Amino acid sequence: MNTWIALLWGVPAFAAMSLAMERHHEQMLGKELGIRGMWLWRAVGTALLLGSLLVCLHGWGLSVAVAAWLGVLTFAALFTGLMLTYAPRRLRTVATVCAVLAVAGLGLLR
Amino acid sequence: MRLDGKPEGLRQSMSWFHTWSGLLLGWLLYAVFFTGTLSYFVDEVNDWMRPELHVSVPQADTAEKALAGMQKLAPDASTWTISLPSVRQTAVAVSWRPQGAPQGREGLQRAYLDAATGEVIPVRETRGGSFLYRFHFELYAMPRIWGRWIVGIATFVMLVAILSGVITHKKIFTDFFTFRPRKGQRSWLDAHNATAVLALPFHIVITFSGLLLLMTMLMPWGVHAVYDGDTQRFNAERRGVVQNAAPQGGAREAGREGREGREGRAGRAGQADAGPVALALMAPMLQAAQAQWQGRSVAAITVQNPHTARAKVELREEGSSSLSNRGSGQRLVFDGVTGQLQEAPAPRVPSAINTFIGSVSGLHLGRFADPAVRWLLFLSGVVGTLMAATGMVLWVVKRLPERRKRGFTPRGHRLVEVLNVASIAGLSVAVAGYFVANRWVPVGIAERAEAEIHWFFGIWLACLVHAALRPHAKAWLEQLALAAVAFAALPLLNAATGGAGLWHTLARGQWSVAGFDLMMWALALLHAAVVYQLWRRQRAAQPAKPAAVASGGSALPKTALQAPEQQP
Repeated sequence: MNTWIALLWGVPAFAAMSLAMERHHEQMLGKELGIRGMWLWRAVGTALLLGSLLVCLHGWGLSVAVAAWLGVLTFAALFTGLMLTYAPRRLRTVATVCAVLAVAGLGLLR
Repeated sequence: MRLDGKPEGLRQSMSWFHTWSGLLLGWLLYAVFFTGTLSYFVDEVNDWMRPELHVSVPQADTAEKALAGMQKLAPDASTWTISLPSVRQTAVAVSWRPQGAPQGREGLQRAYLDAATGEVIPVRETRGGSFLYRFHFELYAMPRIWGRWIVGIATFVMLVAILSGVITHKKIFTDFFTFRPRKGQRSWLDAHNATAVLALPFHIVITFSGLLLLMTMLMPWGVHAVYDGDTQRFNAERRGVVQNAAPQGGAREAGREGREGREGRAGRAGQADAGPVALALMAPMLQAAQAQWQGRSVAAITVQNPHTARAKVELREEGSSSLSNRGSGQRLVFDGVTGQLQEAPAPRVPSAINTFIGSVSGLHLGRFADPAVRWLLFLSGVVGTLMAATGMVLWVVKRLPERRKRGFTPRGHRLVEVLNVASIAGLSVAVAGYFVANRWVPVGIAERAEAEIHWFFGIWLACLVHAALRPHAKAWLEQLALAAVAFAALPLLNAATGGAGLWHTLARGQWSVAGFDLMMWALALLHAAVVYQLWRRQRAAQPAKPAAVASGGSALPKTALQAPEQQP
């Protein structure tokens, strides 16, 4: 369960990270990325990544948590990358839904 | 390496090194990665390959039944070790040491018990998943130590190849999420980069820890210098089971032994030498252990000196919440006669180095892992396997423009093509064939386990011959299609040849067997998807350029139409 919730945090985290990159920003939102926007999205992405780390730390001891977190990040990033390739605009919706579920999932943490 | 003698930059020399080390050791490393990834499910494979065990369904009182079974099987053994069923094991695996048997592995007798009855289940002779596990770091048909050296050196080069790959990769952050499909060489490079970069932590840790696991063999000089070559003492000290060597650790251990001894004597003064003594009931001990470990269940029971007044029962935790002790769980010791909890062994505090090595190699072995983390490790392994495969295909695809310009296929290129097909697609066929042979080879013949392994290598060799005889694109397609069909058929074969079918295993919660069957279907899907892509592209390319396939050109004739692109 914790793995899934950490994954739910990871997807919007990487979506935000990609929004901080010019090419992907245009792909997803259809407009140019300003310098302020870049830092904003980076901050959001970093915060969400930390969120997924905290979820892992809640579920496991430090050593296993970090290992699980890195594994979760791999697949969150892989998913984000594939979405950006094949359905960049839909990633907005998917990431938003994931973010909502991620917050809701905090209630299910064990 | 530039032939014209001009100075080259760091990135170019790294690129050169990455290309050639990756190619030359890629075939071996692909096999290591593939079989190693499967080894995350070695227990599941072992269960599946012993279909006799599929009748065993875990019950609530399995521990009691297993103990009763041991009482019948080996009443006068000096030790019993009982490994209880779990999500990864459907029967009870037991071993015991008869009185006076030699120390070490040779002195142990092994058997499988039915989890419901405690009766012995006779099983077929097979190496099971352990063959794939051993192959991934010792290879086969050569002295163990040679295999380890070869894999060790390849691993070392792999680590360097990963790091040089990172340096070669020009736009590691800009291209972080980039995959450009249907662009020939570009797509292969993107796929290679994505599988490498996104799972980079896994790749680095798994390669580095692989080296650490072979450390004392690859670099024995430290042990030679400090321990005068006494590797046993070194290993004992590393595990923390020191009797007399290290003053600190030794004193602590000795103190604990002393306390246990005194308590034991005091508690049993009245009943010494009273003949066979019954063991205490198991259930309360199991409950106590479960309470202590926050619901994590008991994985194994060790009974020392059963049926004597000195009987001692040790319970081991399933999995672990920490990696630092190589991911092995905690233990609890009970008095075997009274069922009283004895003082829990003081948790060893490993040194910083030991913690580090333990954590990293624990990650590699994945013994600690709960199912979710094990799946993450397995899938990361799949990503790594794909990284190796795409890299090797990329070598061929990248040279297509040059080959077209020259107008013929150089022998070396053809050799790489053949070896790529045989080592990537052929290995899939061979592994599926190994599982089929498990049911095909008659039960009870002499050297049955070896026969299964000979089938594995025979099929692999046949794939090499096939790849050499067929045009390149056709060879890929046919072997991958064969692998897809074989993987898809395995769950059906399982049910037809004495194993428990998916409908039974899912209903009874036998996750080891069900998981294997489901994994085979997942592999079948993965292979079928690749086959479909290849087939579609070949068909699309056929009318436009029939020569591309006929001349043994490429797996992806479309790429032959691409303009050569500048490589970073």
